[in-house]
Amino acid sequence: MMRVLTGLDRLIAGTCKVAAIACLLGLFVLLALAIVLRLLPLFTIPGYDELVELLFIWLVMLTSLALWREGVLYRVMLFEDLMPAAAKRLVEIAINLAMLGFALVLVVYGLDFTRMSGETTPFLRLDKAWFYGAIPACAALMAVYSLVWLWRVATGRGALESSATLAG
Amino acid sequence: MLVSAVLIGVCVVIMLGVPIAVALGLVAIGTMVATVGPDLLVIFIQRTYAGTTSFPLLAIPFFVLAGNLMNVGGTTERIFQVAQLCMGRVRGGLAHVNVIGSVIFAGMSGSAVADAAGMGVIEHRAMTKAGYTSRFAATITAVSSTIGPIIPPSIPFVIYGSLANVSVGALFLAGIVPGLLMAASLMAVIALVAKRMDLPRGEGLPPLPVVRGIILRALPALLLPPAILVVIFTGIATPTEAAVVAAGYAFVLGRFVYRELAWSDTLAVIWDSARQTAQVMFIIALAAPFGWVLVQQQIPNAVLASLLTLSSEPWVILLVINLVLLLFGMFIEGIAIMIIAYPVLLPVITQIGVDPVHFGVILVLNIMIGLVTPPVGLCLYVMAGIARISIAEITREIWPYVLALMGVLLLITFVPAISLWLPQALGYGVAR
Repeated sequence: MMRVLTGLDRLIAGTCKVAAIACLLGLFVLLALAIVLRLLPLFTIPGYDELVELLFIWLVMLTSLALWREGVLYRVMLFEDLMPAAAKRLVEIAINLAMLGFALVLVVYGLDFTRMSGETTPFLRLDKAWFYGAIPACAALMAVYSLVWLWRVATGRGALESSATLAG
Repeated sequence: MLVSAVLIGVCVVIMLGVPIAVALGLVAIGTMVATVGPDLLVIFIQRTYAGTTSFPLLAIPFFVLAGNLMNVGGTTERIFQVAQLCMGRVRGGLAHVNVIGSVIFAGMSGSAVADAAGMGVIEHRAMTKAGYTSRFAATITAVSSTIGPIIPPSIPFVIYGSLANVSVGALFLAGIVPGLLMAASLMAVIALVAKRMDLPRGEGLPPLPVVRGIILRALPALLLPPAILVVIFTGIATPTEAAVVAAGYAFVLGRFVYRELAWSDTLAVIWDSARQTAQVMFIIALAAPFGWVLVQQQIPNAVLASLLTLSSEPWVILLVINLVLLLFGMFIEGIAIMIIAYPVLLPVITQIGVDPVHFGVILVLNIMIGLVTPPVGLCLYVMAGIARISIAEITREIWPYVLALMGVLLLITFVPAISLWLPQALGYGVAR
């Protein structure tokens, strides 16, 4: 059982990585092509805006899922570091419960939003569910990983970490 | 009452250790449920989606990628060698070189943490090898990295421009003079400290053929900052597309010119860049519904009314805003501050007649100072990690430089022309 779950986890992590790299490279090609075609207007890229939007939302959601899975989303550890171990574990459990609740809201209302839209894109005629669906799909896996983290924290097998952001 | 609950609530949830993106989302959800009920939570998803797919934000992954490719591909090393030529035998020469290197790197990357984590390794190694203490080298590297996002290109300017609907091109131009002022102020403090601490002198210029070789090898890299500005301001590319140009150029330099970037490194760099992008983008995605909630609950109006009770003088209000932002910067991560602050403060500063471009520079400079002020300063953590010293050790050295940056902040706050004359002179998207 454990081996199956570990294999599944690796599959999800690997898929996230490959798909996110593909999305970023796809965006690079599209944007570079847009610059070249502005200088040499040989042809237009059909559905440029739609493709960019599709790749960008999946890039953001898949990489966010990867960070969620690893427990390295950016957070401030100031007070937690000062707490005794028992209090720290309680806070970690509360944080993971809050994250689980948040992920479930994204899943439930994300699915509602995806179902309600019923739109297709104007040029490529793509079902918008492929766009909006990125949020509930990735959030569902986030919820699963929150359960994993809850179990790990409750059994003393690990805690969420902090990670630096490059935006500053 | 609601104003305090939302603003204090989000700060408390962040300080408790909930990931910043989740904290913004939870407070937005809580406020929506409390005020309009759970039925409208679909709007929360809609705002999150819209916040994620804003076109200008596409610049973020590519500026991050450009910085990482330059760090791995040998470009950063060559920039540092050129910066070394500039200071000759000046006392504390390598500390000045550190600042000049950051100014040049700033013209390519737009991220303070990329500067600290990339240039920082090279700068720290060179300085300690030349006899500087590890603590001093780490301090200078941390403070000089804050110049990165003020001189264009700049990831925080892209985010602010996108959120506040302000021209990113105008923001880029508005940052040039303040960025150079920051560098000058840091170099002035270094000059004073150099005498007092009897810092080592620079090695002086190497023989002319060596100088020529260093410049020629670095020339392709040095062409990047002006190239980025030229493609933006001639209309060849938008600021977002310019990020792609920067990333593509950094790849060509590392892979084909300097030949230090292996294919396997490239994939690892792309994945790292995607992950670093997500750290920021997930926060921005959840900031969109949070900002929407603030506006729906008319919180900016309430904040404006409170500030106007303090004084109707714009300079007093700006001073108060700076103090609050600096205080927040000590405890909360920069992008989160920007996201919480802009919907609240933008109507305030518009009301008192401050240009949004000018305010963007003030806001980002505040955030940059927050990166080097304890206890939560990301660049301090990055440099403490590189130098293998404690945050407390850097903190002891850093205050003269932080004070210098605060001096620049005051100057920029009260002399708008420092930020605005360049975009105005080029007729670039400034309101007044």
